[in-house]
Amino acid sequence: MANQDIALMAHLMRRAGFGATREELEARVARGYEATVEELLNPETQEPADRLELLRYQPGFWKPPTSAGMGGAVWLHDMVNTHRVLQEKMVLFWHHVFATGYGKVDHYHEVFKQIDMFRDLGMGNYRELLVELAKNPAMIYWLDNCDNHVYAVNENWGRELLELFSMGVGNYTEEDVRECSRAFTGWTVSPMIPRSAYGRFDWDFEYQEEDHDDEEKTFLGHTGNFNGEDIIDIVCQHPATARFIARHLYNFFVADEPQVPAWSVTPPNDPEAIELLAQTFVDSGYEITPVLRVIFRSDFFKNARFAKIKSPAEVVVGTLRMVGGYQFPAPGIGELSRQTSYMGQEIMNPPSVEGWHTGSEWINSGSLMKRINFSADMVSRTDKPGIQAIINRLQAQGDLTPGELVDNCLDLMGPLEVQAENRQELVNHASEAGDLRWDDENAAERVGEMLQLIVSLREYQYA
Amino acid sequence: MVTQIVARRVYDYNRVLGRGAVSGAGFSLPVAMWLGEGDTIYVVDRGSEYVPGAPWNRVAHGARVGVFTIGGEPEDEEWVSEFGKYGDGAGELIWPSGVALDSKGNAYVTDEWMNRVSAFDQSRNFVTHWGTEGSGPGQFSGPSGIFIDGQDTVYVVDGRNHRVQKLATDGTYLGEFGGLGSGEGQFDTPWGLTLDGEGYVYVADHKNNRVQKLTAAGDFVAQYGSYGTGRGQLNRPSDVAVDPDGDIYVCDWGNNRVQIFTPEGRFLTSLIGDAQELSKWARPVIMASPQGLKRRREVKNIEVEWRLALPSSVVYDAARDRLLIADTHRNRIQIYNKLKDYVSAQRNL
Repeated sequence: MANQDIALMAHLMRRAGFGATREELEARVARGYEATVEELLNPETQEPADRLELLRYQPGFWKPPTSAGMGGAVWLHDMVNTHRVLQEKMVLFWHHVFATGYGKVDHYHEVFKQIDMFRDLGMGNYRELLVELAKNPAMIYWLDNCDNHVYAVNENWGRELLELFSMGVGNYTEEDVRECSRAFTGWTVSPMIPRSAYGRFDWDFEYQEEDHDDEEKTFLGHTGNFNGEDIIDIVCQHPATARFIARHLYNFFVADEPQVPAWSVTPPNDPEAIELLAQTFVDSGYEITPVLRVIFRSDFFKNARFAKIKSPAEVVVGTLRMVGGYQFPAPGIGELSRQTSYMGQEIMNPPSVEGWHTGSEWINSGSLMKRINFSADMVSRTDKPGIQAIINRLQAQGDLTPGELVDNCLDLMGPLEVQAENRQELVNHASEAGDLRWDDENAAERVGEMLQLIVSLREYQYA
Repeated sequence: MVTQIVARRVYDYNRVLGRGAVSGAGFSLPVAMWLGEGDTIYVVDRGSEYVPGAPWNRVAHGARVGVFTIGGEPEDEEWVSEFGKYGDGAGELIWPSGVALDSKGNAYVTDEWMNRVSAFDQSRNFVTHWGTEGSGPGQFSGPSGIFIDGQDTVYVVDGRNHRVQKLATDGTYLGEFGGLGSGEGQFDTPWGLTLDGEGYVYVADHKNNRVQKLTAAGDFVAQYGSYGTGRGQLNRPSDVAVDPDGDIYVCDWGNNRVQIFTPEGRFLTSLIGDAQELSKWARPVIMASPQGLKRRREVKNIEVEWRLALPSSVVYDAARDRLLIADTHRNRIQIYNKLKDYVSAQRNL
């Protein structure tokens, strides 16, 4: 099997999923790149994560208290277990774009409902997604639309819909924000049974007609008696929206772009790619899946290997899936889910509605140390099935010289492409113990050590 | 409706007891029950990992076995004591899953993380534990439901080994039946079980979405339910109880209800929870919050609060003809009486 085919498939699975074991990569290469793309784009053909399995053993994660880790564990279980990896990656994508946090909402399960909505609709139609987002109770509370009244307009949701969820700064006026917000008056949540002796209950969307501004509005040059869905129609038709979503998708799946606030003044790194994606988005009637298909089939995607710094969620989930043995919701999953927080990404609690700054901003001396320590700890567990599989593959090649040990480990961990001087450092370390002989009782431990060194390399932080 | 009349049976909602509490009067995710002497009930609280930064072997909340008396009338319930606490030491519990008492009153608690059964004497002092992780005789992978018959034979559902093991109260292996599969007498991750008065074993065959009735030797007799959300269908059943008439109560966990079948397997009705009144222990908590009370008056559909939420356990109290349902995620027990002398009101009233 050609190594470049494996490398390309590994690239696809790192981006469209959370990485893949060598066994999975080989099986996918045998089926073909195009077939794999189609499989990823059609998640209903794959098994979803089993949420009931988590609740069977860890009932405390059903509508859990808002204590850090209690909600992240649920999503971590989903991400580690699902076979619908692109669908789950799109959930993460929309969580980045429509960033909503339990820190304000104060009910993890309401944020779950938004996450679940992304799972249901995130690869479908963007207009439909926006409408459901506008009706999502967590979002309504997060951006104060429950305080947006006919007699007192609150512009928070209306502003973020335009600034961060669709068009981006520079494509609308303050008057448009006002008129947009007026159209969403009356979109609120019905009172929730307050948390108490019986636990927590659900919020429901409620449209209060008597609290809706039923007068004429002028928005982006259109005039009419607009309600919220009319506004979303106009927003979707605006060319800035297609470019904005295209740039987000490019940033998430292809290569790191500048941070979102800079987009109004900094052109895309690859304007042609953005235009192609935006046009696909428009031509398809705002469908997401056709845009993803164009991305994964494009040369600009295939040529963008290791052009992105992994998010903490990608580091943690990718490492857990590679190491294996973390599918079962064992005690400690709450703490395990907090690892992304220590690296700067507390899932379901973004720093603001703007979401997380990505790319090189993921990395500082503290977060890098956390990334390395976590990954190194995990890959040192030579009893785990994923690491055992790597050892078995190495063993099948017989005793290994230090250079062979390094090159094979780099190959099985990616394949990872590393700088020559980094490779030499690894070889120098391996040479201290000489050739790897499988009759040496420390052989597995030596492999674990080599894997630890590899995940400590700069290159492991790139997807 | 709080009174259901179906096929000459009458199920009448009686009351609710409980509230969320990590110790004392209340529950922390009650997942299993056992009726002791009189109307004493033993309730297994699963608890949950809770404290940020605390790995599983340091801190969690609420895992224990609570002991209560229920009484015959609403608000008779009293907290008596509790034993076991979170931890992996002797007499401690990580994932407590079931409890049963032998003829001498000793209590046995399954732990489906530690893969062992812990024994406590009549004073609830820890005595010993037996079982280790594995699939051999007397070993466990996720022991959950437990039942001790009149001869002190212990039946333990060995969930992830997909079998039921029979043991003596000292842990001596006596036999087993089951095995992974969906055929007759096979299981997929079974959870709870019970025995009826004739010694038949009923197993909640969790991932096969059915309940199986077997002889004490494990020979298949009948099965109830299939996957779905409709009448008589099940979604990951968790437990089963049988009354002296032979009616079968299946804890339809994933569908948030209890399904009732005749001994012949004909579907009778569903219980979905009717806790309209606040329980004795919940009331002071709720009444103590003026803001909460204000909000409760604004709620459009308070019925949501009455309903079962992923109930995990059912027990039939034959002495008082009533069904106890562990309403796990609402931290309470809902009680339905099976009325034998009910006279319905005039139909054209």
